Amino acid sequence: MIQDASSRHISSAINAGPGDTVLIARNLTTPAWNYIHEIIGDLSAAGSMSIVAINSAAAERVLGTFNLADGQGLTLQDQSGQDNRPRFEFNPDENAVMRCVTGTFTGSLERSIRN
Amino acid sequence: MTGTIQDYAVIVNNVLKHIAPKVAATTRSEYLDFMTKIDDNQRIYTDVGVTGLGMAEIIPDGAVGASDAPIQGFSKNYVQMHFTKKVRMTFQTNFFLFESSAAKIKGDVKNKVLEGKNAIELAKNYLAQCLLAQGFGTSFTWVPISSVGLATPVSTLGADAVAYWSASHPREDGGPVWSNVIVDAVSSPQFTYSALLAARRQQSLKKDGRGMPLMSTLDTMVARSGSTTAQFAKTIKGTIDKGLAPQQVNLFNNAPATDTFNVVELSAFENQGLSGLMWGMFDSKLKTADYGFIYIEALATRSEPAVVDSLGNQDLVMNFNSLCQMGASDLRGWMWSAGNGTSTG
Repeated sequence: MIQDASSRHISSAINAGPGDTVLIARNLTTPAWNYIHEIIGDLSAAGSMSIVAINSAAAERVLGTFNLADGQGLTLQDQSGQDNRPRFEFNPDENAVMRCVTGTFTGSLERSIRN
Repeated sequence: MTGTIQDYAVIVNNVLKHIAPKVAATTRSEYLDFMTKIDDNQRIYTDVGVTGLGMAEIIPDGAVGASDAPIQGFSKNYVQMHFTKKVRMTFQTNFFLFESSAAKIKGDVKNKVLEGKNAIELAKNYLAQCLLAQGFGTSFTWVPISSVGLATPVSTLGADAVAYWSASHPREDGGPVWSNVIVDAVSSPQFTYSALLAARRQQSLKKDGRGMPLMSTLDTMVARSGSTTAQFAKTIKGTIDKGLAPQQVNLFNNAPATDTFNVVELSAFENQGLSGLMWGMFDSKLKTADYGFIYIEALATRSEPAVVDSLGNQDLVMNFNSLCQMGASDLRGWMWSAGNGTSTG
């Protein structure tokens, strides 16, 4: 059953070192919600990884914080039965940011847009 | 622009075989899908609200009941606007394109490419959806898309003197302010089943001018034609029409939580018009002269007689005119979302 509609899903690689890495940048020319359906990867050194939405006024919404061991893998996916409802949702004014304190998060991202 | 013969060098070429018009097949007056038409021949149309009575009471035997009377509400003036389209062609252009026995443009093509009524209907369609799209502000500057013509300031205030889409509409009896901005965890959510349910919950809480339930149900959804929002609305509507819920939280409970609805799709003018994310809903029972958007017409679109500019260069001039106004006084029957997750009104 359908819960939400979005574009075709697109996969891309994640390689996020310490600090903030923009996974998906806002596009105010063609406003669209950005949906992240899946994040898979591991962190190269023990530390925390957060998914943060940051809008054009630099206001932040922290959508998740994960404390990972050295080399620990992580899989985040949509809830089953909630087709196309994203695991993380960003409004058209927000950048999707991955924030690593230590280590580099390497993996894959599956996303789509709603416009 | 003025059509001089040099502007049609290819068309007047003597070997040309076929001239194909590049215009929309039809121009429909889609603003009437969500506006109520009022015929009024006066330049200014004024409407003013008046509430009904509050709720009755119960008194002991022999007691005197409290007095009540209707309350005068808010008023708004609508001043007629002049929509016009002027076509100007030089003498040679008119002769070689349309009049000569070897006229290049056939009558049916001429009717399509010189149809000023379509030009005026397009302006009305565009202005009408701009009122929806720009309704979070108190005014905007309307500019015809084809860059032929003037910029015009347009107010988007209701009779209550706040923007069409606002979380602080005053109530006639001084009661709590009311909102017609959809909130589903975030303000102005994108259209989803969950946002549909939220909009209908909010609408059910609306009150009349005396704080009594409005007894209104949102039954018509408005979105931009062909947008993801409109496409998804049809999926949700189709699923509800089948008696199913467009979600699967509990397999044993798959009946829809709400009733079906109609979808009104408005053309993609873009610019100041609807974005693909904007959506709103209204109660068609409150699409009347009293509630919702109104279109007040003093002069339906008419073509003036074609005239030759005999004082000047003998250009042929054709004019099309309409006098009308559109806007809204009381948008209790509507709920709106900018679809951006942030607009709060």
